[in-house]
Amino acid sequence: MSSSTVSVSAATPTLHPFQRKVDDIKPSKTDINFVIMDYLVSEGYPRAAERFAKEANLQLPHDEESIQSRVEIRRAIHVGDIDTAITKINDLNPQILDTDPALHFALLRLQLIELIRTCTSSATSDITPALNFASSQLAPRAATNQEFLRDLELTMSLLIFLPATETLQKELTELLEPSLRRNVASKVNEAVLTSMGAHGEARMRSVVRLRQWAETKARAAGKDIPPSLLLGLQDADERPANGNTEATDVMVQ
Amino acid sequence: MGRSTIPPALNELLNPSTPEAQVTALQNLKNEIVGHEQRKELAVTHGIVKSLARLLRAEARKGGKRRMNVTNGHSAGLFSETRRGLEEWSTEDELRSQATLVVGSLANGGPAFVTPLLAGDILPPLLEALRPSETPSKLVTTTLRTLNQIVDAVAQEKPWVDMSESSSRFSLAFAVNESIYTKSGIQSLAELLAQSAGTWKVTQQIESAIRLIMKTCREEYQKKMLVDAGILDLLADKLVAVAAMDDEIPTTEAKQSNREQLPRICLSDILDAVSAIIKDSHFYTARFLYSHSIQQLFGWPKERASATQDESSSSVASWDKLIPRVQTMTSKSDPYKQSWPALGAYPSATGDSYARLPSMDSLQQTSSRGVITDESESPLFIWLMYVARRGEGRERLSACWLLALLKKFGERWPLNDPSRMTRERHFSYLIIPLVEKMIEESSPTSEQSKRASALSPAARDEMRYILERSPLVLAELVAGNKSLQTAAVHARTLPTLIQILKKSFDVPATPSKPLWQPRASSHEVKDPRIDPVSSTLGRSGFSADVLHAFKYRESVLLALAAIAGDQDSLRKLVIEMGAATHIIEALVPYTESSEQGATFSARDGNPDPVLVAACKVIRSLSRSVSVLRTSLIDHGVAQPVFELLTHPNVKVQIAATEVITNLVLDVSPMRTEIIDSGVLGTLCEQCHSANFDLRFGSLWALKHLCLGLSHGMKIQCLEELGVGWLIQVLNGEPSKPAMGTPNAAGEQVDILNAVDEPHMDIDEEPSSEEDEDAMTESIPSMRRHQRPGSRYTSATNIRDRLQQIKNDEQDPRLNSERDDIRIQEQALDFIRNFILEDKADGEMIDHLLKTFGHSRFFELLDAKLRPKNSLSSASTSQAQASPSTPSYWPNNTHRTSFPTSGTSLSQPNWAAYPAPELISATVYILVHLANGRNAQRSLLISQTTLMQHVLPLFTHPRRDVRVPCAWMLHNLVWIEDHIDEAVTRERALSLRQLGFEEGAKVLIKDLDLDVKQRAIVCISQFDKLIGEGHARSGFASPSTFGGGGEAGAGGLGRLGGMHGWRHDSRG
Repeated sequence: MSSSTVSVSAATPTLHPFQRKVDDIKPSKTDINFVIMDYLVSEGYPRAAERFAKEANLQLPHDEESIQSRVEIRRAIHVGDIDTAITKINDLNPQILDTDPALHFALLRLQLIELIRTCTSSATSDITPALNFASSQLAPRAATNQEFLRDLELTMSLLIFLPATETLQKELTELLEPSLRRNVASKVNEAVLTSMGAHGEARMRSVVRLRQWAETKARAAGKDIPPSLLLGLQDADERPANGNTEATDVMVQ
Repeated sequence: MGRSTIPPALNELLNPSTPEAQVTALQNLKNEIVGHEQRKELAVTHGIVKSLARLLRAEARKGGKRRMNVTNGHSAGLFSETRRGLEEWSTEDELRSQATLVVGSLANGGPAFVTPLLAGDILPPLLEALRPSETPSKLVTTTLRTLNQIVDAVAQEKPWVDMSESSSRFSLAFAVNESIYTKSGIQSLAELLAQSAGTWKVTQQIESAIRLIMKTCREEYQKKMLVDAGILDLLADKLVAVAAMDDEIPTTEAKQSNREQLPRICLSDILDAVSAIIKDSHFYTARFLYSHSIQQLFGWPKERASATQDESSSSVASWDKLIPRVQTMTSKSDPYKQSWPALGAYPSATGDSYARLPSMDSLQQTSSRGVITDESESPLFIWLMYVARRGEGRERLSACWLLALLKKFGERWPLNDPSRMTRERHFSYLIIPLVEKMIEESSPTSEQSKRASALSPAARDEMRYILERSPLVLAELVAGNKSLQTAAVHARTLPTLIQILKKSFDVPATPSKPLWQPRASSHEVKDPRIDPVSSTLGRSGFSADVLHAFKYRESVLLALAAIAGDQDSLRKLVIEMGAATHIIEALVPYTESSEQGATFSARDGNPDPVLVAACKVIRSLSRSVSVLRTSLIDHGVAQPVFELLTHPNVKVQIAATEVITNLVLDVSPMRTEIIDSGVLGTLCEQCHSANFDLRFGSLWALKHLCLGLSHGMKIQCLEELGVGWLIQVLNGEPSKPAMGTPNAAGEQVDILNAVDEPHMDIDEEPSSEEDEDAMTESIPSMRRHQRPGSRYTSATNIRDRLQQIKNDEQDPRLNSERDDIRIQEQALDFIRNFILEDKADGEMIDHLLKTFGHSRFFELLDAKLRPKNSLSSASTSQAQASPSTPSYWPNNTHRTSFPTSGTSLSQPNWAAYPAPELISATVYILVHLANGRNAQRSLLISQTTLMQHVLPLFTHPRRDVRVPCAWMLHNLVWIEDHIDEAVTRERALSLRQLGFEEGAKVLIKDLDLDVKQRAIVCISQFDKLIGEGHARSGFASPSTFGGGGEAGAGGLGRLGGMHGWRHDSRG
């Protein structure tokens, strides 16, 4: 992957002058290794990071404990065990959720969705736990913020619609998709990293954004560059690199 | 229900069973309360605080003992000890850690929750847990974090509370600071900082500790404690460790980076912590600059030629390499490059990268020097500029802030700094645009800030911090510097600032709705066993939005005040942009009646710092007569300012008094309005205040007020002020030591004549050329006094220099002397304006002489004119005995070339004289006495000792002293009416006897035109009256200078014009 960020997609007979310039640049191996390592650590791949460290003869920058707990938190969110996730986040640093109501609310809402799922899974089951949870955990916060309120109302409507799975509206299906969990998980990951004084997001993401920005600028200025510059990450190339998540969501699990 | 889940955990904690059970209970409790204010409240009202405190205290005691035993006295194993502590993480440690986390979470609830926490004495055990030698490092980290949370919460209470005010003693912030700033607390912080950063854990601890310092350090005593504990040096070490990574010399890099590895992310915290400590203190700034590590890495710049013998030349060279980097970046990004002509015209441009920067001359035609110099900045400045340009957000801001503070220090204690031109150029092209950009981007209306507020709370907080701080940085940068002010305006900052100011009033009245509650809050009967104090919530603070609005309102006002400080055109610009309305709005004080933080909006009044800042802007603006006469009166500024005079906070009173000073000038249309509202009584009352600044400011205002007042009111004013009080002020303290005091090196140094005082001097309208001169003169001459080659590099030199700066700043005797002189000057000026009348009938002089008593009055004046320690009968010959003290200060060395040949006057020891300001002010009183009735003039001349003491002043090095001397003589020999000729002749004769004719002949050689022309008139009067002057005066025929006659004719007219000499706007 490291080489693909700078290399040419294919050997075209006549190289564009810009492409030739690109080829002339020899990025330093240490820099590339650093970016990769940063990615592995920030995104939470402890074992890959460990192996890569051995291979590239690097030191692991953070201690493993924090990577490990971030991995556990992420896993918990991905499988829908929000309670565990919240407990673990609080073990790490209770300030994270205390000072970021939006994040806390997002997590609690995930938990509510899970509760609703279990409540509605069988026709006989009781929905009181979900109602209790919503009124005790989410409702107080929801009153303070219009967006929270809307989100909560939307989520609560699942209670009504959920048994009839086929005819769900798009908004509601989104709530049930794993991408919602992934989104929240990545937000949590960033928040945890920021709270530890590290870069919230992997540097690779900002590098990609920087490249995109430079390309737009160059095109706007009418510079002579090839009509399309591929990143080399096939999937990511199809979308503009504006979002924080798309480019790497592909790589997450 | 949410409620039902809490009691089990609470019960366990209130009635503890086993440690394990408590740990579980705490964990549950923590998970319950995080992010849920209502449950926090529930926990507190159930008395959780007491049990948390008990838990923490008990464990702290146990833990401390246990570890003391383990350590067993060997001090070297500090680090390994913490390591071991980490391994033996016990249930007790976990208990403490969890309890600490719960405390932190409670504190996140805001000031309302801190009140019970403090009441429950939770801080002491927490602070005990900071000792890295006794506490496992994980717990230290947690504790630091919790302390930071408490401090953050406290900041929402009422951040503007002034610690020096007695009312602040009841504030939370005061209590928290009291507990943290204890000997042991600071010691622990120092120990934490002294750890060498390597592992991530240690780095985190260092970071949190630095943050804690940065957030809490504000008061002088705190700074002192931090510096005394060596924390400033430690911070400098950390800073250098980060900076060393940018140093491109491989050898040092290897050395440094092995020692310390602090991530760059800490940099802004370190910079801010350093700034917090050194702010407002030249001495601490010097301590920072001369700290060992800073000196080692940054050295001090060399005159390039001598760099070779400098042992640190290698490192210096490496910083020089950073410059081109900075400069190339400049030439690329400089948005103004297009608008200025290319500088190819300068042939010297080869190899000089600065040549790409347009010189200041093209921006502003103030300087006579058009040549581009290739001086480099001092390495520390270069690096900070580099950081500012490289970084973004807080890192950039903190670098700029530190730069601004260091620049201020450099202006006061110039040493080895580049010339002012170079520095100005650096700042106006490298720093001001950055600050301007930060202001623009953080403005609440900008795209960036909108986007940031949608992002994480951290990003939003950073944006807010930048908005609060960046105008302040701008204010600090441009204060008192015209070209930087102009540069700031060129950068189009003004409209942005005013827009932000406007916006600060538009913050909606706290939209935060109350939390929804599942059922109506039931008023349960409280368990009587629960300690009531620690289980009752305190008052909630202000909403973050409102506090934020207050803060940035204040900084924007300060920035406006600084920009409008010195130039009329900019003042008008500020007004034209429509700032006046908002400034007036910022003068309305916040009243306690509108308490309730939740419903309080940013429009309903202003906290004290905003009031002070608003007063500063008005003061700046009112220096412009036209602004004073137009927009300020249109906006009705007088009444709100007048009301602030009686504000409970003395700082506000002082600021308001300073505005009043300018508003009661007789050019001010608001004068009568203010007088009618009874300002006289208020000011006289304030003159008796215990606060020096208030006394000083009020007397200054009275001085202005008194000018042109009706006789009756003048007399009333003097009565209210009290003659006794005036005499007391004029006498100063009884046991006044001489002004010249030995400095560290044992030399006799007149500190008061030292480098120009930065404050208040703006009044005396120094032309820009003079300023330039002062700079260029003082630097080399100051260097001359050091041994050649030694540039404060050796330890002794540094110590001497530090001692000098310390004495200047902290020596209470010097400071009180300085204050004394300032207020005496005002008192003298007050008398001067008191006796000044439109029709010179001498009535006020009579009144004054009567109330003071002749002899006492003249003795008072005499005391201000004669050398210290000499009796009133002592002649100047006594002063001659010790001819020239080491002429330490540039002014003296420069002026001794004054011609003394052919006269009986020789150079007295000026250092033994009172401060020149006092002499000058006193002589001006004599000028007016000499303008009185004939009897009064003769009375003056008959004061032989006094007159004898005036005579030597004719050769005083300061022009400000010689000018009034000349005027006095002029007035004494001037014939107003032909009837008076005989009397005048008599006066001339006595004056000749006293040696004044000779004196006039000295003055005629004066370099100063004003003095010279007065002297010419005097001599011709002497000639006319006594008639033999021509034969004897072998020198200085009037024609040489021309315009002698004209000056004579214009004499009185000029004097009339001089009434305004003390019209100075308040600076």
